[in-house]
Amino acid sequence: MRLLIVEDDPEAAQAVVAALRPIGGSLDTESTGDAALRRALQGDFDAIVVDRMLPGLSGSALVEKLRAAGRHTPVLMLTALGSLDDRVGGLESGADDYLVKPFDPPELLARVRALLRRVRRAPAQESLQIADLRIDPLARTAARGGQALDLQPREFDLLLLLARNAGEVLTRTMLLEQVWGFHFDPRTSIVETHVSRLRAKVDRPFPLQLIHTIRGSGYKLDESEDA
Amino acid sequence: MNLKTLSRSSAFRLATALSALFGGAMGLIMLLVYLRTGEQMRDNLDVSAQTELGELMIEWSQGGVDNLRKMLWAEVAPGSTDDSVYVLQDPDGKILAGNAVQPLPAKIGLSLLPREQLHLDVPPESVDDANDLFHVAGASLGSYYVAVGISDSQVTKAMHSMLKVFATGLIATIAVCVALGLYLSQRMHRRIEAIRLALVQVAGGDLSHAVPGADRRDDVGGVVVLINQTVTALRRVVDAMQQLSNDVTHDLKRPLARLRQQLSLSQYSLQQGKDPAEHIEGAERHARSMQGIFESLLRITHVESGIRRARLRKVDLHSLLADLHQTFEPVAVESAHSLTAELGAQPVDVLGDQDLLTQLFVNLIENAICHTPAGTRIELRLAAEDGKVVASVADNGPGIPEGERGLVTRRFYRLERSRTTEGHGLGLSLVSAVAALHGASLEIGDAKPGLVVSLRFTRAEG
Repeated sequence: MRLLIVEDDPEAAQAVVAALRPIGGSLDTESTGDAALRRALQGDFDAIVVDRMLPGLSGSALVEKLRAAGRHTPVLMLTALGSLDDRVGGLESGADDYLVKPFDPPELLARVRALLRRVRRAPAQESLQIADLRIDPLARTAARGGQALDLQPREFDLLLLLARNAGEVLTRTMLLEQVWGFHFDPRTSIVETHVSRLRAKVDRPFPLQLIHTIRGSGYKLDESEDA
Repeated sequence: MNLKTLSRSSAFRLATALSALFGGAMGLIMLLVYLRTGEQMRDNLDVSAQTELGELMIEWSQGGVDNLRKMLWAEVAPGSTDDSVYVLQDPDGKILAGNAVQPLPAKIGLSLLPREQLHLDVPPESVDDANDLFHVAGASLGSYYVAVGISDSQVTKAMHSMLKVFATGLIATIAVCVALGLYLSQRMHRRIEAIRLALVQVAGGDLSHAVPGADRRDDVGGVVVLINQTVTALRRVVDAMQQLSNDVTHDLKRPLARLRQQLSLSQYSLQQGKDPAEHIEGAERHARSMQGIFESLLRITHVESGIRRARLRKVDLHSLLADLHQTFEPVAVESAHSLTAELGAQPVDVLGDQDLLTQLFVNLIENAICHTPAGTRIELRLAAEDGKVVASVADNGPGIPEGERGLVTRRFYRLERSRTTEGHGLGLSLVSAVAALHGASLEIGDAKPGLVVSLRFTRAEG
């Protein structure tokens, strides 16, 4: 794995490197947009983490130029600006994900991992099979061991997302964004509650527990018991 | 109003231009009338002379030269007129009748002769008449020559009068135009000066006064209205910024102090050889809390100041609330509350920002879940009543005391009874800000018992 980190604040760069170390591979850093663009165009990186505010060439301009040059390297944009407008603007410039500083290290790690997965994701309509769990995205049905599961629409969305990212951690924030479309932090434990209800339907009646809680990070769906 | 400001006054320039144009046009017309009238009057003299000549010729045709002589003697007593000339002369130039003392050049038809060439038996009445021209009509009767001539002194006098009248009129008109122009400019200048002074104040940072002059229903009044709206919007932003600055100063100092405390405690622990984990976790917690407050404050400020422009689109409140019901029902159950929904069966569209409206209702629902005791029933309601849509979140909990209802939308306001519980007190500020942005009215009332927070929207067409 080759990752490029573009951050002009040395402390922030240190934090990003520390957060992403578990991925392994090489972590290169640049502190200016221009230098980073050159490297990104020359080298072959699997993912780029870029700060929006950079001296000289800004993060969003960097991504725009990268895309204009035909490079589709997954990009996660980091920024202190967190308004909806900023998020939309950042994504419009070509970034694939957007994370507001200060971030939780597990959050950054989970999102970068998700970016790296993107390249090897199955097409959207295909049925998913994990252990004895079978999900049909088109028909919006799910079954375990042949037994149909009675799921509410949101519960199905949650299960589908976890299944599509099987084996990988999805953070609470990611779930709030992708299942509920909430780009803010609710005070109540929506995700926990719904995961709990989902477990009651998907896991409890069956011997194999698929939905796992990863302390400090989030949740994942995995057929391996010791996940 | 000195000359410099005068010359820069657009009203004055306009008035001057119009006056010049009008004056010019008027002058031109007057000139044409003058010339044409003069021409006409002189033509009339020719006609009169010819007519009189015609009459004389009839006399001659009836009674010959003698008859004519007698008539002329009768009509034109010597010295009777200096305005006309009559002459009957024989081929040798001897004057047989008339008031000329010397013969006229025997021109047939119309001719113009200056007075000095006519040698009348009387001098002109006034000096002005000395340069008169006589319109002479002459004819030959047999071998005699007869002529009638009329002086143009009347015409000249008339033209003079006309000229005087026209000149006076033109000058008076221009004077009136200039005076009127000055007056109107003065008035306009005062209005503009008042506006200018008010704007100087605004530019200097004083946003509290309205610019005067919005009451007049004309184009300038319209601009003043817009200026005032702009100033109001600007004031809103400045106020929001001021408020944010205050909030940050006052209400973030406490958690910041606590955070530092925890950090120094962890340092102390390390010095003592003890495990600082507990204090580091505490510091992390306070930091997170501050972050949350920052985020909320920014969001509220963005909405209030208009920086966060509402993405106004058709939003179906029915599906939004039904969705939230589904989302929060399990959450409510977990904390021993119940969440029901009375939303009707029809889609209900309003013009709004999906994201902000979601946050608004999430805030209200979470307030109900977090701030009421176990067993409380919470209900989401949606009702449409002729063009208006009312969405409310009601609970049968302790409610908000009447005295505090007006205060709860203030930032950081915590109910007296809630002071010690979790929360920053920003929830209802955001609700209030989003409601205002949507032009929806917010009502905090008694659900008898309990609390009902209602929002009244205008229904979107189509």
